Amino acid sequence: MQLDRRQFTKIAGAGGIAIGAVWQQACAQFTETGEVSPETVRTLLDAQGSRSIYDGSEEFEKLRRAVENLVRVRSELRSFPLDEDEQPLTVFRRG
Amino acid sequence: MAQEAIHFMTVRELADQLTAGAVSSVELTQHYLDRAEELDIPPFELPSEPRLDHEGKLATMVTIAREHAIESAERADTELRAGRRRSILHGIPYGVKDLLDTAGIRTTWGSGIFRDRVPDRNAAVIDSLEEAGAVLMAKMSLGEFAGGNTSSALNPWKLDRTSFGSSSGTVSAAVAGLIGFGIGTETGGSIVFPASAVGASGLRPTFGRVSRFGCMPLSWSLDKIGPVGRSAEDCGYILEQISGYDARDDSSANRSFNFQVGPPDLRGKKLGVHRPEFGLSQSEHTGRVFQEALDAFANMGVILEDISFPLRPTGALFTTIVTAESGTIFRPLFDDGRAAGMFTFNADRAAGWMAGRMMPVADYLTAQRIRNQLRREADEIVSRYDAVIAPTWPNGAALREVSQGWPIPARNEWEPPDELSAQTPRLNYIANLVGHPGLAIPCGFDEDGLPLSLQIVGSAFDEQAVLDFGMGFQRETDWHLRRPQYPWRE
Repeated sequence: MQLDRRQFTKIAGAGGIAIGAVWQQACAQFTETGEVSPETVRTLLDAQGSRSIYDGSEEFEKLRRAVENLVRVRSELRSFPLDEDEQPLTVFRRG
Repeated sequence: MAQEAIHFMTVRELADQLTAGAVSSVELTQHYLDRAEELDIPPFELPSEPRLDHEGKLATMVTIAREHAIESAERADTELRAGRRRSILHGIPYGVKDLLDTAGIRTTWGSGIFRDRVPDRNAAVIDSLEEAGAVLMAKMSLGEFAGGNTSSALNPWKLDRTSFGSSSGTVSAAVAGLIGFGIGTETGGSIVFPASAVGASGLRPTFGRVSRFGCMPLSWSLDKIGPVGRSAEDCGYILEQISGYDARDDSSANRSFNFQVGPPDLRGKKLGVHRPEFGLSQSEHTGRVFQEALDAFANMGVILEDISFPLRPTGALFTTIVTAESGTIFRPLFDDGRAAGMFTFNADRAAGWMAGRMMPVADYLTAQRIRNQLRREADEIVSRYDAVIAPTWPNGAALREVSQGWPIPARNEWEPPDELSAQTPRLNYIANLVGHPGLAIPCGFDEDGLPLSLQIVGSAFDEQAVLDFGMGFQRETDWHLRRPQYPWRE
């Protein structure tokens, strides 16, 4: 199917919002219950494409815990007071 | 003092032997190969899950490149006989961490997935060392995909202790006299931590100083490649050969490094002492060893001044940046299912990489903004001094245990309480995040006879300053000349 620019923007934008919203949901769940639900992690996983090695329950549980860890870390970073002028070190060059 | 056994000689001593014709490169290479085959090869194939059945062998080498080494040594000898010495490293056998590509010699990244991977190109560092006339002898063991503390390489000072990671094969072999010198890599401590565990001298260069072309990436914005030797001076000679601009690595800096071997006059130089980290050593004996090392600097006329870095979320920064970058780098392994072949102990790490891919980009950018602030703060603090110093690791190497496939560094009785650790900024993590160079040098032994080490950190591109402090210290002390005795202590 050939998409025009308007259709592409609409689809990509909707996808971005959806993934962002699911991640927000993961953060909210963690704040409320101390856990991120398997359903939320599965939605995030499916948004990545293939489930790869995370179809099995044992591996999936490791992934769920890893997501919880990142949610915890994210909260630590987001609470760090940053000057609004601070730029990200996205091009890291010392020379 | 009796003459040092040739396999324990420093780079300069080995070069003197070769230049004087006291030994040929082929003889030297054969000697190291014989030692490696006698002392290093375990009764199992590498790369491997961490195991306990080493039968006293160190397992520092994934691949011994015997034929390649002898051919290179013959070439080096021919040139030496013709009066051509390419560099001080000419004819000296070395080992390189097995994540740098070597044409025609397998490069496994420490993983069973790449057990048979044979590149058709050299990493930039390998080409530089070939140009310098050095003799590639072995690919050194590491934790799978440069994982910390998960290598098969044992600690020659005591076989039941960890050699940390991830450049553990390189540092253990250097200290055990199995190679002339080595090359390691570091993302968050992978040269200096294992160097500390085994008493090697190891240098993490400034980010961008050494080209990473042909090296497995773990984190584009954090990876560095650096030298490992038996003295600070060794590290200077090696860095001079491997540094320099390379258009194939976008982070490569156009800054040459011309090593000044000294002797450095340290009188009046200022060394900032990161005092809070010295408090992490809970053993009186260890605290005394570190203090005596600082006293040695003071006796050389160095001005010591206590400093402290601000407490910043360095752990959270590493987790965010490394999982996002590694998750992207290793994505193909997950997409085609090869990730299922990762070693058992790495399952949690793999899950972290996958989770890193799910994280919104805004969180990655937030981490890089905090890192930028940290860079300015650290640059400012370090710039007030010629260098700053802290224990590389607050204790000697912990027990190495293998449980359910995991090589667990057992917590020893001197480990600081979690609360104290969490409240203490660590110079190593800050320096890695901001790209500062750091030199680990041995400075004594703990109660169990395990090496202790100090890390000297300098401003960006001021490797000469940290090497000057290291060479000055090693001129006044002999900790770097202590050797583990074979048979290795059980």
